[in-house]
Amino acid sequence: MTIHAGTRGLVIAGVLAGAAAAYAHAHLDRASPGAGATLAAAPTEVTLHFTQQLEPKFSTIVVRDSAGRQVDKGDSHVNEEDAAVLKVSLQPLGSGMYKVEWRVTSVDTHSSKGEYTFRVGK
Amino acid sequence: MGDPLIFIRMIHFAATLSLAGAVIFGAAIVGPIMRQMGDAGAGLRGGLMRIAWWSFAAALISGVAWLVLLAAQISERKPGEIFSEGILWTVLLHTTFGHDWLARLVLAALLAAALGGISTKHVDLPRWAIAALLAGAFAAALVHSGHAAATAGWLGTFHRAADGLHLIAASAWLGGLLPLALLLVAARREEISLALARDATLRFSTLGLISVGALIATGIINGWILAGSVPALIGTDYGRLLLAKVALFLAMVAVAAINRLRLTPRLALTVSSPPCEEALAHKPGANGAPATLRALARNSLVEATLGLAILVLVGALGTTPPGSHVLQPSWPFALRYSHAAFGDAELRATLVPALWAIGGGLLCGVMLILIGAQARRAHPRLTPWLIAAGATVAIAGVAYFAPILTLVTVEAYPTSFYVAPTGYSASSIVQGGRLFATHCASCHGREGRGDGRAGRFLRVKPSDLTADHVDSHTDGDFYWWIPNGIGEVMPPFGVALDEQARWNLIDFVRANADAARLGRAGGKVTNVGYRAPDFSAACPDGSTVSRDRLRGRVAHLVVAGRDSAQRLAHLAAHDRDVVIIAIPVADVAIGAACRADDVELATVLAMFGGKDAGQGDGLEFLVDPAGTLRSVWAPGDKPDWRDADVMEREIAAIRNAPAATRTTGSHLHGP
Repeated sequence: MTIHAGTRGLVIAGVLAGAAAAYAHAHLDRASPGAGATLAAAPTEVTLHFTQQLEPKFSTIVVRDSAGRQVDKGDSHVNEEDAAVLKVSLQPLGSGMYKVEWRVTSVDTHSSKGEYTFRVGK
Repeated sequence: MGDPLIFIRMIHFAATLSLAGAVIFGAAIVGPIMRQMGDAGAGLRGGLMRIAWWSFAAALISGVAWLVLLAAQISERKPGEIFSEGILWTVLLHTTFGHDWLARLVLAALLAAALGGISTKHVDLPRWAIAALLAGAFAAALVHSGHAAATAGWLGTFHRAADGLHLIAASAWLGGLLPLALLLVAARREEISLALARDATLRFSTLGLISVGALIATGIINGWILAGSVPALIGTDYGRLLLAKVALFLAMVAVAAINRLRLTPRLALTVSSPPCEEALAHKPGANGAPATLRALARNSLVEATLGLAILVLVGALGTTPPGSHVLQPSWPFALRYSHAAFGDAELRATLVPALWAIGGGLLCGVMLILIGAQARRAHPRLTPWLIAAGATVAIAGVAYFAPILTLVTVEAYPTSFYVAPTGYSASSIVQGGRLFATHCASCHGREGRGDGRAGRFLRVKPSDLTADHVDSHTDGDFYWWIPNGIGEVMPPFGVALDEQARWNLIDFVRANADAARLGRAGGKVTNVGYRAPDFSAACPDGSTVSRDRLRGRVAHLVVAGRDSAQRLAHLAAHDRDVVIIAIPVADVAIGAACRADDVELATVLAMFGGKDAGQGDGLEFLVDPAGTLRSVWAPGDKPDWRDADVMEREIAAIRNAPAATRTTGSHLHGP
């Protein structure tokens, strides 16, 4: 029947349209230290603010120095008051370039990741 | 190809809605007329239970699949690996999705018990009602697994309430279509009487009408929260999927309207005159009862197919970032609306009467056409004249004044509604300043006033980027011009400047323009909004304060040089609702003030204060709770901020008068 054929086509179109989309959700709103920033004094923690509330058990930050060594204390935790804020504390840092790698899952179950660098010292 | 989660979600949604729909149909549509059905009712009830149990099985299997696939996705493992390392337990016990899954499992168990307790042989309305309530809850609980779970605060509660109602209404209407078709087929086979079929169809129509109303109202609420603007609707994947869903919904409503307005009355006609029914039943025409029943059943299945297509879109929508969260929606048109003209008194004087004329012309025209249509019976000869007059008035009104509409539109580019991902941070502005000096100052001048040496001999002078005109254009407009140039007057810089560089430049141009205007206004601007550069400070009590999270307080920024210790101590003893933030540029004791260790912030603030980089010691700024820069003071300026009364007045003025939105001119760029 023509009606069913037409709606079948619609269903296929909808499926194809949907199949292409599988993006991530929580976006990095603000970072401290900021992306690309140069700091005079070494920071003691990295604080990342996201656009959505996060699942604590599936959100982490890893900070590496220019040789790839991990320089954070491995204690990524979501702020109790504001579930959109993720922090990790840092070991004492010397001058140089550092890379922040984050991977988070928002409460509506979507994961995203990203990275940026900051510099300590002149 | 594609994300299997979309298909699993679709199957689970379809199964859940079908389950809830069948049970609600049994309780609300068939239930009240079950006694009259007699034995035939048992057959129908059996059919409903079979739909419910099959849907239950599909929902269970797809629900488990959803959990497994999702756990694999968020832990970045293969589905087989999640059973080790306790990943599955972590998801179930420590995530919002997991908690919701467990709650729905409990509801499913209760629902199975309720369904099992229903005997299809007897009329059992209370048990159907209990099952309907449980099934409705089972469907509504899906809100915690979708985008509504991520909306924060009271808005989140409201969003989830609206979304829950949306799911229940969809269950009742979409989920009831298959049961309805079942009932109509039973009527066609003469297992139940036509009168009962008509009653049931009418009841379902009413249920459908209420559901459609609820779907529209809750759909608008959800759409507003998750898409929220025209660019987001047109320019993001989420928005376009949503528009497709709305189109399919309207198609469903159209088919339902045909059922309600044409076919159901025909059914009623055949019911209310039995002798005709006898005759008609054997007539091979389209108006007989069997034919009408077949048409109704077929249309219901068409609606159900459309509904299934909607659920595919819902599956996709659930995995797409909401439009309101997308920073960069693409705009497909060459023009966009701009309310800038309303800010100019002269333009407003031309614009507003013209808009009234257009509106009035359209209204009169439509009224004349309607009157003409109504008069068709009483005064048939008048009708064509009225309709013609109405059309003329409407078209003439619009055509004559339409050129005025160019005043409310402005040239647009695909990137016009892009928002900078930099958050207007100090480091972005500083980097932008460096890029500007290298790439732009030669034409636009060292301070951006359009007085660069290379531009002196150009026919069209480079723009003064500190003029008020800069406000007429969005960040996205600049984001288009930098790589593409402007016609023949500005060359493209696409190769030299990448995305990040362009946003840095745009942030710098904005900051530079604002700083220039602050300078021209003598540093005292209490009601024009200049966005403050982003700052973040650590306070003695362990909390962090930043531009966008001032929590209702005014921020008093001090660029703290060597001599600022006393000033900071004096300020700390003041207003509790003002947070003092020191940006140290030297080794200085800041006392109880919050600390923002940010050299680049100090540089940017110096620029806002009209000083060179490094010369900003002692500058003070007041930022209102919305993050807008309101006034600047340098040591030596009058009135003197060192006077406590002056400070009180400044702060009170800021609290009492929120910053006005900046008015901007309208402009169409020439070639």
